[in-house]
Amino acid sequence: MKPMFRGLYGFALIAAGIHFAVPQVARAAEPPAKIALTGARIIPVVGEEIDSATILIEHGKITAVGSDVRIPFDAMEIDCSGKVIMPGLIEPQSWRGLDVPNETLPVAPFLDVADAMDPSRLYFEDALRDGITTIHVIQADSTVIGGVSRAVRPIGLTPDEMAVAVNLALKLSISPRGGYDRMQQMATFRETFRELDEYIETIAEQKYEESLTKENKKVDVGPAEARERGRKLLTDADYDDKHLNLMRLKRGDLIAWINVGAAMDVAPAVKLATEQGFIGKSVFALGSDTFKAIGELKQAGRPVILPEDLYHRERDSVTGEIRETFIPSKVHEAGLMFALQPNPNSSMAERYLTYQAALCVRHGIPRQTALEAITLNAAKMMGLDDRLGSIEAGKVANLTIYSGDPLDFNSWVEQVYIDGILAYDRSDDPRLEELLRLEGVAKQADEAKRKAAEEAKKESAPAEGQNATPPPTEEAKPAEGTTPAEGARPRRSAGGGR
Amino acid sequence: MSRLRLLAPLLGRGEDASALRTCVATACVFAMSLLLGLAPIAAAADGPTLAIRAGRIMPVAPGLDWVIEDGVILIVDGRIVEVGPASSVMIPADVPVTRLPDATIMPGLVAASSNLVGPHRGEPTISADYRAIDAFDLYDDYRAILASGVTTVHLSPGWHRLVSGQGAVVRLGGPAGQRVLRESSDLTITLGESVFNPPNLVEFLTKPSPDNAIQPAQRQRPSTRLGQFLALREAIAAATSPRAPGAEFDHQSEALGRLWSEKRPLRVQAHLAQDIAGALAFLAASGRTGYLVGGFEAADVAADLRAAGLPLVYTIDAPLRSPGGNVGSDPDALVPDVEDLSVLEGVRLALALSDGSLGDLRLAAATALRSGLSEQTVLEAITRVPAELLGVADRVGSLAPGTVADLLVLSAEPLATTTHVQRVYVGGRLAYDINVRPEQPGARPMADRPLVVRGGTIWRGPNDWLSDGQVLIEDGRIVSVGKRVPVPAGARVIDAGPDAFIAPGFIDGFGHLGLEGDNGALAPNLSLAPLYGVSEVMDHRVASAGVTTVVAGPYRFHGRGSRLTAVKTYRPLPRSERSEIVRDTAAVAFDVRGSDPKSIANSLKQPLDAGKKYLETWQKYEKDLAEWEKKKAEGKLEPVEKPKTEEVAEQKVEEDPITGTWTVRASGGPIPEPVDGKVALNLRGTQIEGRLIEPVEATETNHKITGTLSGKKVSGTVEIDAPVELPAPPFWEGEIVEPDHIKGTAGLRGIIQVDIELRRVDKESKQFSVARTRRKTTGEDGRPLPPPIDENLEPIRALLTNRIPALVSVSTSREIEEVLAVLADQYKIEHIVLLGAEEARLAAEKIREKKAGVVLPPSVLRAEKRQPYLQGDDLVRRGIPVAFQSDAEDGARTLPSVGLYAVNRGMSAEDVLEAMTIAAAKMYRIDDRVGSIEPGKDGDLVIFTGHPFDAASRIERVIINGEEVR
Repeated sequence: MKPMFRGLYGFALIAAGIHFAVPQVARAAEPPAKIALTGARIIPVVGEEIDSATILIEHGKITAVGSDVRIPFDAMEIDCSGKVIMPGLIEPQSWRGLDVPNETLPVAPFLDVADAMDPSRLYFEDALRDGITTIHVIQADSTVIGGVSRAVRPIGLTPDEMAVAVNLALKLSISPRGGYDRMQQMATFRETFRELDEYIETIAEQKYEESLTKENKKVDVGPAEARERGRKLLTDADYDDKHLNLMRLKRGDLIAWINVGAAMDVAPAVKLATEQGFIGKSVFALGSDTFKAIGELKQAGRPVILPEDLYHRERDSVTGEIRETFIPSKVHEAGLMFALQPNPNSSMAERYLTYQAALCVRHGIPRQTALEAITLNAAKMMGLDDRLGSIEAGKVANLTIYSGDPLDFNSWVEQVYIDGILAYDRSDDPRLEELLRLEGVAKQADEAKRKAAEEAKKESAPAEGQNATPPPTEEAKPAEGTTPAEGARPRRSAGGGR
Repeated sequence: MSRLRLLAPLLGRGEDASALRTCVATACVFAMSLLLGLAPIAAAADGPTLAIRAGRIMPVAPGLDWVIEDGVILIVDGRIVEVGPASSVMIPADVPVTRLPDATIMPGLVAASSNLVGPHRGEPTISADYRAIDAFDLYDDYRAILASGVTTVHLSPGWHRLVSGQGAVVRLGGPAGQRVLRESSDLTITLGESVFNPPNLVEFLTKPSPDNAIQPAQRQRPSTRLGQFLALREAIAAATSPRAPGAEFDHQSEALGRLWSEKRPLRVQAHLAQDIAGALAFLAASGRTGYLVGGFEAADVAADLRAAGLPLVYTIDAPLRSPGGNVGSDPDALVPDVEDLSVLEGVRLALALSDGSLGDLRLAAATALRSGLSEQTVLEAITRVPAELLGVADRVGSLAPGTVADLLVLSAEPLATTTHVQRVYVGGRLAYDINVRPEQPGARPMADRPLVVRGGTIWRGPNDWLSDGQVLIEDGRIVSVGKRVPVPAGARVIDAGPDAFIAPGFIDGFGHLGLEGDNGALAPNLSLAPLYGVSEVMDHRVASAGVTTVVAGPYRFHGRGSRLTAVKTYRPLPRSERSEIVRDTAAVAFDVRGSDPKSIANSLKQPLDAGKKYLETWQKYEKDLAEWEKKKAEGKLEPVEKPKTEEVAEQKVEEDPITGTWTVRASGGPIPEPVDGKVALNLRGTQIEGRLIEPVEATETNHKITGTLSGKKVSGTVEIDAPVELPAPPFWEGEIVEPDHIKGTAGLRGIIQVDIELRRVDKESKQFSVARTRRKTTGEDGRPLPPPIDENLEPIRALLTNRIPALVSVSTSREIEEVLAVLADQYKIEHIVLLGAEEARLAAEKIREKKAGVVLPPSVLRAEKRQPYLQGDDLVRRGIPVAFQSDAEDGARTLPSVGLYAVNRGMSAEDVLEAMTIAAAKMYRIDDRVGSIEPGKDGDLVIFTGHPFDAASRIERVIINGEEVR
C-alpha cells in the first residue's frame, strides 16, 4: 500500500469508469477499509494535543482518536512514531485552479468555477506537497459579482472528481474591478439588486398568470396582488441562471464571499449585505489596509480572510516614516475569526500556510488560534466544519503528517491523507526528489540509504529464516534517518528569517 | 454679624439689591442654559475639551464680531461652546488652554468644488445613481490638503454627464466615523460642451440567442446646447412618470425620479452665460432650488442671478503653480472673465478653484480681492456661504457656538499672500501642524523656526528708519530686512502693529553682569565667558528691559590688563556657544585713573612691550611660514637636515677668572633673608655658560646661566622654566671686584632686583650637558611651528594687531592725552575706548583725531562748575562717539531709563539710540554681530509701542537670537 496517487487515479479511472453524476462527487477508488495511524503526536486543533496516540480511519472517515484506541485486528497499522499529525490544511480562497482569474463581465453570477478549473495545474500538486487537503476555488477580485465557487481536494482528474462541496459561495467585490471606479462599482451593485427585485416581480406576475391560464382562468386581482401570489408559486426552475444565483445568495443558500480590499470598502460591504439580507452568511476577504476599519469589522462580527501579505506598510505622508502593522494582531484583538492564506507570490516562506501561522505565533497570537486559522476556521467559513478542519471522530480523514511540529520550520510534510487515501508521500515525490537532487541532497540520501541497507543485511544475516520483511513504509525511512543538512534544504529554509 | 452683612445685598436689603438680584438670576439662567446646551453635545460628539486663546479670532459667524482681538474659543467635546474676547469668556479651571498670541484663527475652509473623487467612469448621460461618497476614502490621510486650510470638501461625481450623479460633503480629518457630513447632498447637473456627445451605450448580453439578439450600440443625448435641456426634460419626464408596461427597467432613470421627487437640491454646473441663462430658465420652469457652480461668465448675467436669488459657486481659474496653457486664437475659448467680480456682490457667492484642486483655495480666493470683492465677501465665500449652500452650516463654516471645532491657526491675516496655515484643528483635535516636519537630515528643529517681525517703524541704524517694514530671522540671525521679506512656511509671524518701533537690542557699554559683587582684579589670561550659563533671573531682568548685550568686565582691572567679554543677556536651553557669547575677548582694559600722568607710560609699557615681543614671535612665525609655503609651492624646499650636535673643543684657559664652582648669596629687594646657592660656570672665550646647581630644587629645573665677560664686568641672563612666561628672562650682572669674587645684581628688569655676591670655591670645570630640551621650532617636514600660546599676552596681541580695542579707565584730560599718546602714537593702536573720561571735553580734539570712543560715566548728568553738564550730548556734538554704561550687574536693566533721562535733558533721541546700539557695537568692534537691524547680524530686536525714548513707550517684546524673551 504505497501507490503513487497519480498512478492510483489513472488506474482507478480506467477500472471504474467515470460517471458524471453532478453534484454527486465521483468516488474514483475506495480507500482501504481500516487504517490505524499509531504512535504520533496528534494536533486535533479541537481539544488538547495528544502524545503517541492513534487515529483510526474507517472508510475514509475518522472513527476514533486517542491514546487508548483499540486497533481492530483487520486494520492496516501504520507506525507514525515521532511524527506529528495535523488536520489537512485548508486554503480559504484561491483562483489558481482556474485558467483565468476573472471573466470580463462585471456581473456574472451564472458562472461556475467548475467550468474553468484545470485539474492538471501543478498548483494542486504543490498544494498537496504543502499539506493542503482542501482548497476553496473561487474567482478573483476583478469583478462586481462573480460566479459560484466550490471546495475541492487537490486530487482527481476532473473538477467533479475533485469536488468536496459545490455551489458554495458567490464572489462579490466591493473594491472596484479593473477599469471601474468605486462609484461605478457601487452603482452596479445597486442596479443589480434593484433589477433582481424587478425581475422577480415580473416573473412572479407571469407565473401567476400562467398558473391561472392552466386552469383557464383570467387574472382576477391587481398586479401587486398577482405578484404577491405568483411569488409563492415560483420555483428555482423559473429563474434564469443569472437571477437564480442572486436569489440563492439572498436566500442564504450561497455564502457571500465579499472582497473588501480597502478600509473604505467595509462600510459599503456591510450596508449592502445588510440591505440584501445576506450579512449573516458573509465572509469578508480583507485587503492590506482594510484593518483600519477594524471597528466596523468588529461590529459586523463576520469571519475574515486575511491578505496574503500579513504586514501592512505605509509611509507617513508628512514625516515620511514607514509604519508597519501586523494585520492578524489587529484582527485577533478585535475578536474576529480569521483564516490565513498562503502567499504564492512570495518567493519566501510566506507561501506556506504553516509559516503564516508561525508568524502569527511570533507576534503573540495564541498557537491554538493560529492553528485554527489554517484549518478549522476556513472550514467554518465554508460551512464544512462538520466534515473538515479538525481531527475528530466522524470527520473526514484529511490528515497531514509532519516530521515534527508543523510550526517548526525544520519539519517536512511526510504524508498527506485525503478521505483516508494516502494522497502524498514525500518518499515518493519525483519532483521534490529531482529538486533535491539538483541540490545534491538526494545524493546524500541515496548514500545513507545504501549504507543503512548494508547494515540491515549484516544484522539480519544471523536471524535468517525469521520474518524480516520490512513494513511497506520501511523504504522511506532511511531517507528520514539521515536528515539532510539544514542548509541543503533549498525551498523550506530559504525565507525562514524575516 | 459680618456674615449677615455680606449676605445683605443678596437678601435684598442693600441699596442696589434689585440690580444684584437681576444679575444673579441672569447668571443662573445662563449657567443652566449652558448646562442644557452642553448635555446633548457631550453625549453626541467625542472630541477633546480645550480652550484656545489667540491674538485674533475671525469667527465668520453671523452675530459675532468680525474680528475678536485677544479672543478665546472654548471647545467642549470637539464642539465650539463659546467664542469671545478673553476678557469675557470664562475658561473652566480644568480646561487646558492653548495660547497662540501671534496667531489668527478662522474656521476651516469649505471647498464647494473639488476633484478629490471622480469623475466616475459610468457611461449613461443620466448617471443619477452615481454617488460621489462611494469613492471617498474615509480612512485616508488628507494632511496634505489640511495643510492648505481646507477642512470640508464637496465631493463631485464629475463634470462629464448631463446628470453627473450625487455629490457629498465630507470633512478631511478626525475619526473616520465623523468625516461624512452628507452622504448625498445634491443632484449634479452639468451644462455645456463637456456633456455633449456622451459615449454610446452597449449592453452586455449574457446569453445572446435569436430571441435575445445583440442590440446595436445606443446613441445618447445631448449633442447640442438645445439638446441638453431637451434631454434633461425628457429624462425627468420619463423618470417621474410610471413605467410603461413592458418597458425595460432603467435603474438610472429610477434613481433620477426618486431624487427629483425628493426635491434634492440641484447643483447646476455651467460656465457660459448662455448655459447659465438656460439654467436659470430651467430652474424657474421646474420650480426647483439649487445653486450654480462654475460661472466663468457669471458677471455677464449677474443681474439675472441676483434677480433669481440663485447662489453661485464661482470657480476661479488660477494657474498659480505653473503658467497656464495657451488659449490660442479661438474666440470662443473658455476664458474666465475676472475683470470685475464686484458686480456679483449682491449674489450669494462662494469661491472654489475651477480645476477642483484644493491646495491653493485661500490664495486663489485672495486674488478675488483684486477683482473687486470685499475682504468679508471673500472670506465668507470660502467658509460660511459654501457651508450654507452644501447644507452643513450647522456644523462647519464658521466658529459659531454649536459648530464642530474645525479651525485654522494662521500666521497672519487670512488673505495675506505671505500667511501660512500653521495648525489645523478638526473636531478640536490637532489634525495638522506645520512644525511636524519630515525627519530628514538637515531639517530644522522646532526651536529654530524662522521668525518674521512686522512693525510700523524699523530702526535699521542711525537715521535709517524703515516704515511698515519686516524682519526675517532664521537660525537666530537676521536674514532679511525690508518692506516685504520672504515668509517661509512655518515661520512665526509677530505683527507688532503700525505704531510699533522696532529697535536693535541695547548694548551696555560697560557692566559687571554675573559677577555677583566679586571685585577682584581679573588676570589677563582669564575670560568671563565661562561664567555665563543658562540665563538666570538677573540676566532675565536685564534682557526684559531691552538690554540684549552687555560688555562685561571685572570691577577692577589687572595691572597687565583685564579682558572684557561681550555676552548676551538671554541664554535659554538648548545652549549655543556662538549665540550666547558675542565676543570672548571684546577688549583689554587698563586703569590709569588717578595715577601720576608721568607713570602712565611706564605702567602701560610693561604689558604692551611683553605683548609686542610675543607678537614678534608670532610675526616671525607667520613670516617663516609664508616663506616656507612659498618655497613649498615653488618646490624649492630644502631637505630637512638633522640638527648637528655642536662639538666644541675644550679649551683650558690659563688664569680663567670664571670657570669653576661659585657660591651665590642673594639678598635685598623683596627677599627677606639672604638665600644661598651654588652655580657652576665655564668660560669659553668671553662667553660664560653655566647652571645653578644648588639649591637642589632649583637645580632640578636646570636653570641655565649665560653671559659675557668684558674686562672685569660680567652680565647675562638666567633662563628659567617659569610657570608663567616672563616678559624678559631674568638678568644678572656684576663685576669681578677681586679674583674669585663677583658682586652685582640680578632680577627682573623693572620688577624686582636683588643683590648677588659670588665666591669661587673650586676652579675645576664642571662638565655638564644642558639637558633642557628646546622646543621644536620646526615640524617633520620643516614647516615652522607656531610659538606657544600665552593666554596672558593673547589679548595684547589682539590689541596690537587692532583686532580688539583697548578700554582705558581715565578721568582727567592729562590722563586722556597721555593714554592716547602711548597707545595711539607709540604702539599704533587704532581702537581706543575711554571709560568715564569726565574731562574728554578738554581733550576732544585729540580724541577725535585718534578716533577714540567714550563710554560715558554711569551718571549722564552732572554738575560742572555748578552748571548741569550733559557729557554725552557735548561729546556727540564734538564728533566723538559715545556709549552708555551701567557699571552694574543686573542694574543694567535701567539703562533705557538713563537714555530717557538723557533725552529729557537735551540729548537727541536719535543720538541716544545710536549710543545704546551701533555706536557701542562699533567701539567694541562687535558691530558684525549686534548694534543694528541688518542682514547677517544677530536677531536681537526690541519692540516698543512707540519711540524708545518717548515717555509713553513701553517694551512689548524682546527677541534675542530670534527667540522671544519670556
